[in-house]
Amino acid sequence: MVELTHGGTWLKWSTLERTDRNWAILSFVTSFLAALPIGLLSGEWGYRLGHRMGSGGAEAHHRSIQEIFGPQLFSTMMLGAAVLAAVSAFAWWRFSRNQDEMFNRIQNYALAQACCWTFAVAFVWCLLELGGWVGPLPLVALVILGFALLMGFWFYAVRRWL
Amino acid sequence: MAVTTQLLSLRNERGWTQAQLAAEVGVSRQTINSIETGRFEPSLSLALKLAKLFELPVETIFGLVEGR
Repeated sequence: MVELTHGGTWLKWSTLERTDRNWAILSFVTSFLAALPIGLLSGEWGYRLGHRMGSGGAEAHHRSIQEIFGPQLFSTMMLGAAVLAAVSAFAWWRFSRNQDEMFNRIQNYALAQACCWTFAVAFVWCLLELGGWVGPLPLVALVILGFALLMGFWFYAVRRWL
Repeated sequence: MAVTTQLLSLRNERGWTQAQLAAEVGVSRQTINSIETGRFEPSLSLALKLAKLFELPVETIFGLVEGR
């Protein structure tokens, strides 16, 4: 059974069985590869947001990620990221299934809280957008928010129960 | 209502380590530690597994007290 170390930031590798190690490695590698194109998109989104907030620079001359790679390669990259993310989620689900109730309680708490709060933010944002108060919410911003909340609730749960 | 436990004293009486007890009931050593220190309330199935292992009624190992 896995033990969490460093305040929940890492797994104690020696406590894992061989099968669990393989599932964990598969999940880590595929999520890393899936995150590469997502990282490019979030970088572009951050650049545009920074520009709108007055950081300067020439946004008019900035080429989008889609333009840099071309629509064909860009679509393939996005499809690849989606497939790799699905493989990563499956591997992590198989890994989690072999762990004890402490690990699963921490994980389920963090997932449930992060999903609820991300949905709430998206819902309120949509209402504000319908009222013309704000612009459309970029999907990548929602993904980043979801992951940030997931990490926050994960560390909170580790401090609470572990 | 808060859950109290006698797990630490019962384990010490039998001379078991946390790791040994954890292996017997199929959880991690950290889980046993958290139950003993009162930070984590186990599921019913884990409480019953512990009761079976110690050959004691579950209410001897775990109890309820007023307040938190």
